[in-house]
Amino acid sequence: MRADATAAPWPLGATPMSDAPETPLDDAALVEAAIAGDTAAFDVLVTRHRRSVYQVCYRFVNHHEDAADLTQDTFVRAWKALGSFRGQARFSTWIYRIAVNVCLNRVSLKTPKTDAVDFDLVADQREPAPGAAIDAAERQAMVRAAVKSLPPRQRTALILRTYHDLSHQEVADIVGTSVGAVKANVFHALANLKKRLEPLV
Amino acid sequence: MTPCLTPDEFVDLVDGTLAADREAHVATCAACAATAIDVREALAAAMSAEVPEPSPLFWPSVNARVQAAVAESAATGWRAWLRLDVLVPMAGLALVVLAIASAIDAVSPVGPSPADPEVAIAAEPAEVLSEMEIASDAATDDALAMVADLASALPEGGWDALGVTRLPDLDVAAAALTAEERDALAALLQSAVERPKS
Ligand SMILES: [Zn+2]
Repeated sequence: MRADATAAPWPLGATPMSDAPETPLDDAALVEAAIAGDTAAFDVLVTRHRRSVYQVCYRFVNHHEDAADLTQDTFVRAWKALGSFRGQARFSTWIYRIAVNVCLNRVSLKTPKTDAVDFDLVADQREPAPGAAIDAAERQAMVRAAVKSLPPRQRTALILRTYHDLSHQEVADIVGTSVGAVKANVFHALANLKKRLEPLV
Repeated sequence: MTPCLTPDEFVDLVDGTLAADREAHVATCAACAATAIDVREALAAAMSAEVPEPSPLFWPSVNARVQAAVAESAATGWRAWLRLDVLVPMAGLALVVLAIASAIDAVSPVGPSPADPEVAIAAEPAEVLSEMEIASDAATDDALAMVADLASALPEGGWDALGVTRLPDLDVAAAALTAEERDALAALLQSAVERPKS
């Protein structure tokens, strides 16, 4: 008999994670359980990271329903790819990478490649009349629209760096480029935002 | 005069990580000073724009949608073998194999006699299956008795009570199992064998 056979009962769809909130498992342990087929463990990961994934997606597309779809796609792809997650990165970094890929795929499907297009050349349909009063909500909406209109690489770098408190190195790991390239993309994103939002800032 | 800041240096500047001698350049260069102001203002504007908070009902719906999509993909993927409605009958079928293999072991001492039937089955299910096919009549009779015995360990209603709507092809199942999954199946088998009968 295997000495350890009874010590490792198969999960069998039980929900040990949600039943034991007093001892929350870290992401790595949840990933291990999810790889073994424990969908309840994966559900905890979804709960933990759904907000940040949704916010990345929302920044990309500036639209709730689209962001919700992209969020779902991100987690489903993560589930399918769990076997390739080796714990060399944090789960949060890994899920960001998937979210960015899902969003970039959507962007490339929906719009022509625009990396070469400077921001001030993009037609502006929301620019307010000079001197018009703009409330805070409208101003925020304009900024989000301006971010969405950035070329994909600039958008990606700005979103991850500015809104998700990731280091330049982490952003570089996520998008598969150098730290210098990330910083350059952040700079050009901000320079383009400045031009785009000239009446506001 | 020192060279003007590069794009990545402007980012370091607003991050506060630019080397002091490079930062000193900005104080002496009107162009870099103006660009630095633009970058800071754009960053402040960007950071002021929150993502609108969705309805509280939205967050559970994310989990529900993901679960539904995962369940759908699991129905066709390798994880199908790890789901309750598949794994339980597979374990049940493996118990049948175990019973027959044990019977074979009892009546055919010259045949393969694994010291640990559960583990042997878990590790080499296809091989045990072929043993089952060549089992003698006597061994089969004994095995059938054991199967009947083991079957009584199932809850009332059998597979239906477990929510099982289809039985997997055991050959396919065995081929699809990784070593890790076989270990897990072995553990499951043992717990099933040790489960007290009501
Ligand atoms: Zn300069």
